[in-house]
Amino acid sequence: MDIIIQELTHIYKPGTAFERIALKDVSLKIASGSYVAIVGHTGSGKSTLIQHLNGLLRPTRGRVQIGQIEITSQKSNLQQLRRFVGMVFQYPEHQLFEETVEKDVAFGPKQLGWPEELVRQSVMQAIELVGLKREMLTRSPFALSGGERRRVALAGVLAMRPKILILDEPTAGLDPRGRQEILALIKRLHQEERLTVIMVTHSMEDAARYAEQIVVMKEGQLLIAGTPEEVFAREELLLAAGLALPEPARLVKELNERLATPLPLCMTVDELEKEILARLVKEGV
Amino acid sequence: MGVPELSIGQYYPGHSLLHRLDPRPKLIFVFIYVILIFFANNAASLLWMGSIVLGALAISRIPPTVLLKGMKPVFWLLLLLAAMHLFLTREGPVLFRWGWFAVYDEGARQAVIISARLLFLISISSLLTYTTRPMDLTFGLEKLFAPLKRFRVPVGELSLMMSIALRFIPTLMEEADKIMKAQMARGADFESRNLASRARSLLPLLVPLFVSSFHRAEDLAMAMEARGYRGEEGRTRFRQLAMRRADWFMLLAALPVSLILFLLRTW
Repeated sequence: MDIIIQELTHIYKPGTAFERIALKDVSLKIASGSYVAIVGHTGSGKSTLIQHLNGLLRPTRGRVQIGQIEITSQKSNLQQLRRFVGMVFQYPEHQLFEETVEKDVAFGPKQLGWPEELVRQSVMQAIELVGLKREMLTRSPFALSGGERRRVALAGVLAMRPKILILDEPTAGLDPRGRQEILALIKRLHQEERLTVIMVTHSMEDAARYAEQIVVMKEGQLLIAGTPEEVFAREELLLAAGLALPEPARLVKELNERLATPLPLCMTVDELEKEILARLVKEGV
Repeated sequence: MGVPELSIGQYYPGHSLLHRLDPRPKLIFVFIYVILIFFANNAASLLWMGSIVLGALAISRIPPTVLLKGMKPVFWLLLLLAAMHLFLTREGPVLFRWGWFAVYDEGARQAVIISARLLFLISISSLLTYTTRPMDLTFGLEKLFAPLKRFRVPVGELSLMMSIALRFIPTLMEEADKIMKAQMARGADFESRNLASRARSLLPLLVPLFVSSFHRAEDLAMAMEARGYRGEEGRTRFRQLAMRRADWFMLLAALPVSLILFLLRTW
């Protein structure tokens, strides 16, 4: 399911003193099966943009098309849409409410009206996908740790078997290990389940490391979209948007000021490690 | 979609004269107005009281549509009250008869008077909250009720409670909106027509909202203690209220308003 966004404009509370233009003429195409990172400063319209992708917000002007389903300012079939587009909000563990993990994960599939057997199957599958043990199914979600709760919330979305997974800062508030685990999990979902992944993030490092395409937002407008190489080649644009290059790239730039033969601009720690090792071998250290 | 916008009691930013006035004279004026409105009992006095609302609206420079939109929730109550007076009062000559059902002169009169009074009452109090920041409102109330401290009424604490409650209304609304969206993304249906299933569908919204409110309350208490809050005793204020000429004028305006009303009403 390709996602096509055309001249999308969204205005909050139009016609009042609180009117605010959150999105302005955003056009974007996201191919089925890709991994896209959306980056931008706070208030740049990232969250508003992704909320259009499953119809939680309607365009003030413009249109969004997902597969065959179209979202415009008019009514459209959203229940259908939400089955295909899984949305994981910031701090998704805040939405847990059932007495047991199992019931909570089953909430989405049940709302879809699936037969009991299928609901059970998807719950099991989702729990396994996010790496939770089966013993946890009967426990209260409020008795789990922060990282575990986030996995439960993620499982609740995955249990609906979406084709497109949208995540709003999925690692916010987690410790370094929890971050790594969640990001590895998302990567696996993308590779093994062939989900289209759209991730809003503040971390340029995560965007560089995981995404195939990066979309940069500034003041409600799309500043630049392209592969990480294309986007990071335009450092001046990133700085103007209040963003910076990923840390490994910044390190390379500083190193190059002192090196006779400059290193290529690396975006991830792994790349940088390889380059430096190759350099050391070549120079016979 | 989302949480319905709360427009009664919301501050509507602006720089008009009414916005800039001290909250105390505004509160007193509205208080007097609310009492006076129940003395208005004929066309002339009602028109007089209505014209004051219109005047205040004009000075406040708040778009009339904002006021009207805010009235929407009370519109049905108004209609119901008017209908009850219209149909249930059986006094005076019959104006109109249709089978067993009749409208009496007194009923029609009561319906008009009651709905006009209620309409003006809600308008003037909405104008008060539209033009006064919640914090100023509670501070004004605290000042006005300060003499009660002598009778061991915890005025300061009560006003702090009120400010905190008001402060967290938008936060809670935002939180509710977020949770609602998250649950809608999981297929929750908050727009069901069936009352029983609608009540049940609120559970995924209310449980997380309560959980986070308790967390928030604990955090707030901790933060206040960390900053040295030890009750209201000996607490000073950064912002002070001062009555200026316009404020005194507002206060004194209540006098001619009442005088003219008492001249116009039927005794």
